[in-house]
Amino acid sequence: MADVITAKNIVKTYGKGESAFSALKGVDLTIGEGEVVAVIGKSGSGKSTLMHLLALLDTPTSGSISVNGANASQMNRKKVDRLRNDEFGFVFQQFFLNGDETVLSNVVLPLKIAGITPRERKRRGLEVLKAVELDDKANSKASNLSGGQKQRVCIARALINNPKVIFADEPTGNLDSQTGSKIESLLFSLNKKKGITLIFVTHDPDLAKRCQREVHIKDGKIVSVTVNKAAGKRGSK
Amino acid sequence: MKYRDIIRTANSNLRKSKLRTFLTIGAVFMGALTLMLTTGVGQGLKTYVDEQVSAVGAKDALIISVKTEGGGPVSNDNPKDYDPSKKQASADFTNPPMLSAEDVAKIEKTEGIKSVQLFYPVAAEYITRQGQGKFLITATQAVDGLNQPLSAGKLVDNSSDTSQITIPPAFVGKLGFSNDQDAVNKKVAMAFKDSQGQIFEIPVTVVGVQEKTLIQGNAANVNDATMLAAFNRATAGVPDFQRNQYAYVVGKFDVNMSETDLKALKDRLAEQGYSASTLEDQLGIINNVINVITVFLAVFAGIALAAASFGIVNTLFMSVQERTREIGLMKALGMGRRKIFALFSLEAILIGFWGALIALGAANIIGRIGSKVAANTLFKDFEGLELFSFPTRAMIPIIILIIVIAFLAGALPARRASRKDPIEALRYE
Ligand SMILES: Nc1ncnc2c1ncn2[C@@H]1O[C@H](COP(=O)(O)OP(=O)(O)OP(=O)(O)O)[C@@H](O)[C@H]1O
Ligand SMILES: [Mg+2]
Repeated sequence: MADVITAKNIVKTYGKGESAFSALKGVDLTIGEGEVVAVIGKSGSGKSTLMHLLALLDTPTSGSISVNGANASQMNRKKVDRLRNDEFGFVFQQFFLNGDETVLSNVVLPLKIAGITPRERKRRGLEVLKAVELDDKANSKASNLSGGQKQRVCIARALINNPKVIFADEPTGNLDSQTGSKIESLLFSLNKKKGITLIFVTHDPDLAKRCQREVHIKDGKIVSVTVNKAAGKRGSK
Repeated sequence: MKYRDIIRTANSNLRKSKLRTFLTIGAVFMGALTLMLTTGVGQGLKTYVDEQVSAVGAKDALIISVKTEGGGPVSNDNPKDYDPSKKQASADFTNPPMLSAEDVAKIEKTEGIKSVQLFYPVAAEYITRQGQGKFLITATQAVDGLNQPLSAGKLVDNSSDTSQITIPPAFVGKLGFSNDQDAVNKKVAMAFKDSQGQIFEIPVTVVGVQEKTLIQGNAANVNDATMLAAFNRATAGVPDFQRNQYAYVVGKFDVNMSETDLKALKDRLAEQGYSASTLEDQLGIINNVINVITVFLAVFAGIALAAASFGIVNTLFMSVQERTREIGLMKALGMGRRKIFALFSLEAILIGFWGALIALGAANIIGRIGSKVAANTLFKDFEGLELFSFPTRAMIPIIILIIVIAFLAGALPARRASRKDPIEALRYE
């Protein structure tokens, strides 16, 4: 099994001089292809910061991050943009949907950025909406959906480019437990069926237990890693 | 993102905040309209003057007069030494220094001058016709080859021995003619004063009726024979040295003479103490005045456009601020800086484009109405004067200019958008 993302001794310091604050203080982490990893820790422990760094949304103050064996600091901005657009899918803590636009046009945004034709966008958009059981809402305004539906739209958007890795920052954080577990099942099934690597950021121990690996983080450091043998097998590809 | 999608997205973003977009386009519209109208007036007047100038003809004529020191009444502010070799400007405006017979001979001998036409310093008192009243008239001696648009008949002939005149349209009815054609080949009389102050009349044949033009105004044209006859009677008994005096003469040169050769000819005349200018030189002054007015008006248009560009800057900054999260999301999903920049500057360009386009439409309508109104009132007498003119050749650069200004105004907010850190943007509440 190949490693998708490797982080070596990454440090992230915000601010300078007196007010400097290190959100990450030397983190080593390797994520394998098809793996399901949970990053768990208290609020302010540095989970989101770590996720942003792994997803190349931000650059570490020191240390290195490699994606598919290539060092990210050696890639130009365009390459990084393309990598995020092609291979990563994002589910953010907030929905970040454009309420004025239709569900379909929200979902196809990554394809629009990729420069794919409107026809192909529509075809693939309807396909992923079907996968999240929202194809009947394709032409509704995004603002008219319920919270759970919105989160499913976000997952559809994360799926539309057939990503290799999905980053999900508290995907169930602001949903009721029933809707939350539905969303979780959806994501786990994607891992099983398509072998998509999942990286969860959460402070929910129940969700973490369902993952193959739990990475416990505290004050910017990894304090322990738990391997859950019982958790679902890795997707094969 | 494909450029087609960028255009579409920019357009739909503009549509999302309709009122703001509308007001910003309105500001651009006002600036663009001002600029177009001022340019339109400048173009309209210039086209008219150019037409008039080229209609005048006589491109091979130099109007030659005495070059005067100081050019007018003696100014006491900066006294100059008396120089007996130079003609002095008369203290009386109405009596400019005159060319003598010797001067004329010198001008004739100047290299490049083919012939000299004398202009007799006599002024008509009035024009009349049997059974009609006496009317004041300004009559000018026709320059050889001068073109005068006519509504009937033909131009006066300087080679003819008989006295001829073309009359301005206003005199047709006054002199009792039923129409323009009726006046042709009829006899009228022109009156002059002799040296004793006695009025005398000479018979003149009307050969044509003029159209009113900017340059000729309401002056009648007479041929050499008319003025010579009047001059001979008016100066009968005056000694020759006093008699042969001319305010100006017209020297003919080769029409194909180059600009530099013409300049050299003027310099040769200047060296001998004569000032010389072509009809185009004299009419060119009108164009200069029009240019100055146009530039002056364009300054106001520029101010309006500057205000409009601040409107664009403001609108886009607000838009960037409001859409921070959207921008952050697009960047997180892999949209490059350049495309984000393109997206926002395109919004500015579209604002400029629509503002300019609507302004062009409005300018055309206002111009058409304005031209018609002006033609019927202010410029009633100027046949063919179109006050506003909007040739594409002049309007396309204006539209491009406005789009460029809009782009420049949008560049700063667009740059700010393109530089937004996706993380910051996504954290933004
Ligand atoms: N831009 C920034 N400037 C200064 N400090 C920051 C910045 N971003 C994050 N931090 C700090 O870094 C630490 C880690 O933040 P991070 O968002 O990674 O926490 P988290 O583990 O995701 O918390 P939560 O569960 O509440 O989302 C926090 O103390 C936060 O205040
Ligand atoms: Mg967080």
